[in-house]
Amino acid sequence: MNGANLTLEVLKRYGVDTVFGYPGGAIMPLYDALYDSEVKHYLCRHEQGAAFSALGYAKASGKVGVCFATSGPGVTNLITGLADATADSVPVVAITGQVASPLMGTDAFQEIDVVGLSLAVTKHSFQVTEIEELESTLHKAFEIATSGRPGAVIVDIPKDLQLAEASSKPVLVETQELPVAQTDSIEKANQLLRHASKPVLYVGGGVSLGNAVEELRFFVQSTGLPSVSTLKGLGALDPQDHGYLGMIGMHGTKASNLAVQECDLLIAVGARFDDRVTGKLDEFAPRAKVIHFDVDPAEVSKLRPADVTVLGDFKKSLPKLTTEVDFSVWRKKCIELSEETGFKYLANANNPTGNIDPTSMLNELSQLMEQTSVITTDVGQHQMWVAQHMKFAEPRNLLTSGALGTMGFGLPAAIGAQMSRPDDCVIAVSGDGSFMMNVQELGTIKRFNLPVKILLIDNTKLGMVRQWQRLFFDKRFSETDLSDNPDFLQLAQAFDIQAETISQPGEVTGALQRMVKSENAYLLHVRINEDQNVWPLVPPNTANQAMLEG
Amino acid sequence: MKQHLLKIKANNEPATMEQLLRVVRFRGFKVDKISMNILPQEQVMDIQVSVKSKRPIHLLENQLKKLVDVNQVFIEHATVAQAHM
Repeated sequence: MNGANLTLEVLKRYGVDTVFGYPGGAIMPLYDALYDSEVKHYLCRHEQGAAFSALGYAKASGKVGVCFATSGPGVTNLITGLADATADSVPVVAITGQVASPLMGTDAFQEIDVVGLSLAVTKHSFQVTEIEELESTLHKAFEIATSGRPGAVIVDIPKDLQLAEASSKPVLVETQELPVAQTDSIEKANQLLRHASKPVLYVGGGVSLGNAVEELRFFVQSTGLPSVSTLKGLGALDPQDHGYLGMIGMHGTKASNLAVQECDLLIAVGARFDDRVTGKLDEFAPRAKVIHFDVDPAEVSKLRPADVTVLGDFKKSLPKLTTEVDFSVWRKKCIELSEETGFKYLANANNPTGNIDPTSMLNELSQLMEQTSVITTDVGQHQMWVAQHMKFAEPRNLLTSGALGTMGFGLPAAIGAQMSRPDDCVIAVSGDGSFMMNVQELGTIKRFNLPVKILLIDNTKLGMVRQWQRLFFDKRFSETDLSDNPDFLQLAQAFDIQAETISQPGEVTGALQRMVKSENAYLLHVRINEDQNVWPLVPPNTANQAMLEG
Repeated sequence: MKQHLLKIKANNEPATMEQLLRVVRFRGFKVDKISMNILPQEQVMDIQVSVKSKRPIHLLENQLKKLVDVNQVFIEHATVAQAHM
């Protein structure tokens, strides 16, 4: 067995049967080993597509995503995807080929300093220098990628080590269990909860990562606490609960932002007080004490000091957070606020404006699709419309680039999601700017005959940047015009993907139905007016109650 | 602006120092002084770094403790940095 075969053997031991990648010179021995392997490799059309497919696969399934790339440009192309995975705490293991050991450090063809390049964007980076270390390094990579707060790990393997004779030996890898929160921290949290009269639960992506959705929902159900979610937390809270006020922050609902600004206790669970959530930090939840549940000590009191910190496994700590206090008056106030200020939808069939309203369309899609469907998004206005106007039964049904905000995420992530959940409907909601960033992955859809659906919302603009130019840059629309977009129908057809274009409100319902019922890949191209904007919007460095509402 | 002396024990890996210094810089701290020795028996890096910043030191301490190859971070003392430093 050589190093390449051993690498695939270790992957199999971790239950990896699907990898995404792109071959090249320095990783040819690994691709040669793949030729006879049970591990199924999906050839993407760009290494960034492979990284995002691995990410989508991991996010939609809860498994580890694995991607392969060659040295030099192969690795540089992976980097954005790995940065995205680390920023959003997604377990991804990237295996990269490196030039042969004697050539390393000589500026050889397609050589790049992978470790130096990756330190800032991965949870950890390994370069294997001895064949005896290969197996233990791969084990460590899986352990690090999945433990604690997950992230991306690179294992860089020189070509000569992929070819070197290797033998598999039992390896003892230290596994790290999540710490259990200290009893006194939970007792302090319970004390604060007992003395609160207006508490709000602020839920982030960590709840899903910690597999604690059930525990969280039980807590909400038993206490009646009003709740808000970050972009990454969407799906963790029960969307049917009237006390759930929606997304918080820059494009959050009016009710969620106002409730948090008024609350006297903010219970953050797996959330990190990101600037897109808090608005002007000094004026965020100004009267609230803070209880912060997290697994990463570095996130606690990083931006907003916590009065009580509960560090450890949410599955074990959340059930111990209890109270007998009746919050029904506060809950009722929040629900009334939510009902008064909630989004109103104009049925597309009755829309007399002549322009398709994307918010109503996405709300309709949310009701029309199976609850097991997976939505991926790119980044921009359409992403915020999805977050505002669609409901998700569980966090794994919404895949979006939250922390890094990477355009081009949606299409390859949908491909990965479709591989991990072949029986579920996967829909990539995209904008005309983002879609073109990884459009080459239509080739992957064609190659594997994937039934991925694409809802392309086209305003012929870089809409979010344009919205900011309108609001904050005196309507100087610098470099945001995309009116020379390609013919998206012809583009889809070039990849054997069925497609249709709609531009009238009356066409929406039928087109959405045709898309979700299609057994094959389908591109629904929706033309919208360029002046459709995302509301509410809290201007940068402004307190969240001072939202603009269009 | 405060100055802090960090005493760090870390695994003797090729990228340890590079990663450590990267985190110090990225999190808004400047290095004033640094020394590193390999403790021969344990093959462990014994690092002392003097850093300064307007930011609270716990922000850096928490980030350093997250690094896979860092085993221990101890903050020895804090002094107000001289204006010319």
